[in-house]
Amino acid sequence: MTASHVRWEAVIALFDALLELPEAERQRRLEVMAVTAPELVAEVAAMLAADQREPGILETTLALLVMDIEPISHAGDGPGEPDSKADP
Amino acid sequence: MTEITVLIEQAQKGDRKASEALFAALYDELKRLARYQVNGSNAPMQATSLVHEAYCKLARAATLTINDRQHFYATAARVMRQVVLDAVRARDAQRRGGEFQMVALDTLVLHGAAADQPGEDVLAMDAALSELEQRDADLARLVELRFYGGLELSEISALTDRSESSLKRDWRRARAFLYARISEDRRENSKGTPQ
Repeated sequence: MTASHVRWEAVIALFDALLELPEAERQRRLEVMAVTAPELVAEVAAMLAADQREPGILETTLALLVMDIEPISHAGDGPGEPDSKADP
Repeated sequence: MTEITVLIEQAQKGDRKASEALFAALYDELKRLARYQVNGSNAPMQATSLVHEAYCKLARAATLTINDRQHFYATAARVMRQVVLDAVRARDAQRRGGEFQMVALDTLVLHGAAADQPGEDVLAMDAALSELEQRDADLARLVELRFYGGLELSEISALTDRSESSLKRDWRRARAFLYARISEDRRENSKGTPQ
């Protein structure tokens, strides 16, 4: 396991541990840990804040998301009717 | 054994008809992915066009390398991700080449549940997901299947042999990581944007 994997495991473990704590207790623990592991705490704090945010792109659907996108091409060798399907 | 699994097995043995049927099934699946939860509006038309592009992309790929049902859905989701990304890039390149400069790439209009939110950046989302892939491939795959693939957690659970509660926990981790990265990306971009 690489150092980055170990660090990610630490991020996830701390995120999970703090997730269900009351806000005040969560902040207290983050402040204590920030003394020895400021980068880890910063990343987890950002994730905890993101967890509380309003619905965004992940809460919408792909089809609604692409409404504003012009397709690159319109015609070609799509399958269409079964008989006219392109040969893979 | 599902129909898709049977088709994959037969296609791998050189059955040409099975290969064609698998390809058609994949096309149908792409259509489903792009159309899910759409009510009214012109979204289905746009989605169909994007699916057509996805199909063309797949037609150039080696479909026979798909080796199981999970891989089938993962491939469909990955293709949709790439097609949406390509479409956004092409649109933004076209706008940058026009008579005005786009300040940011986050002009995508969101509808429905996220209607009150400012436009999210599909490109930032993709970049964040690529970063997540480096950290945790399983979480990234879950996001691809659910967001780009449109699968419900119950479907992903059946596909991956993992419990829904475990997937929910992973989804929450992935969501937090991605939104944190997107927020950071926005802060970085706003620093360089004149007020």
